[in-house]
Amino acid sequence: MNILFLGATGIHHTLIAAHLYLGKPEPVNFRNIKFWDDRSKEMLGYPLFLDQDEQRNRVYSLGVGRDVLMVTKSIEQLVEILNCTERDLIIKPIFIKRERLILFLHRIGGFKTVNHLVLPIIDYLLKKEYAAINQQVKEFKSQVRFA
Amino acid sequence: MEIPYFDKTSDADFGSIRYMGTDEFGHDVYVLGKKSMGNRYSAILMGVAEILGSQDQLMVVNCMDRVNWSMKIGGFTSRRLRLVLLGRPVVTWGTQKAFSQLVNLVEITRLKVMGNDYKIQAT
Repeated sequence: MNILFLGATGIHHTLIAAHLYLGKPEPVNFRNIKFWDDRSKEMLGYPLFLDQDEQRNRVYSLGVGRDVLMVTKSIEQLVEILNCTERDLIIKPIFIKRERLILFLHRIGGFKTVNHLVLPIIDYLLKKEYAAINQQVKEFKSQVRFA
Repeated sequence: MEIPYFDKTSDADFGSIRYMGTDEFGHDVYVLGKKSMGNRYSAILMGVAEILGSQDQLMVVNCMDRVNWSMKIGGFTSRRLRLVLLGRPVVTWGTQKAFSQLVNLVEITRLKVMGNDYKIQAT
């Protein structure tokens, strides 16, 4: 089975959620997480493969921009069209209060000089959101266990 | 105007993959509105198909590069601002102007899909 974490960006809060889901050690510094703020990978638009969980499910992170629910709907329908089911792919959207702001900062951070200023702000905002992300992952883990 | 869904969609329809029919090669054809997400949406869908091991069953055709300003402004006025009387003639006029471009895109797509077992999505 595949598990796809979806969010406004795939290299910030969504990546942290996938990282926590995989049971990896709590990050002291987000920048140590693989693919953290990796703009070149994010630009491609493809899901980022992170690792396999203990049940050998393949875990991905994907950034889809502002309208996470719209993309979630499309992916769910695509899974059906391709004759697959939830047993093949579970989609977990991750929402945080400041996701629009993070997306905005991520976009303006496309300029190298601005990026140096923007990254600490993103770090700070995500530290504030960390508990909310962790809570969503905990709830999801219990859902997957019973799936 | 007789084409199903032509200038008749609502906000809730964005992101919905709607079945349009089956072509002469037996491929199922769908349409999808993706707001202003451009080619990124194609990459997302292809990426998901790849995860599922079905990338050879899907072809995503981005129609936005054939859409002119009249279609964009007319569509926005009709759908988003809900000024149908004002927007629909503009989007229809724009579509007539872009028609040959759209036909060209269809021809290119037909050539690409010949002999392959695709599900086609126009986005």
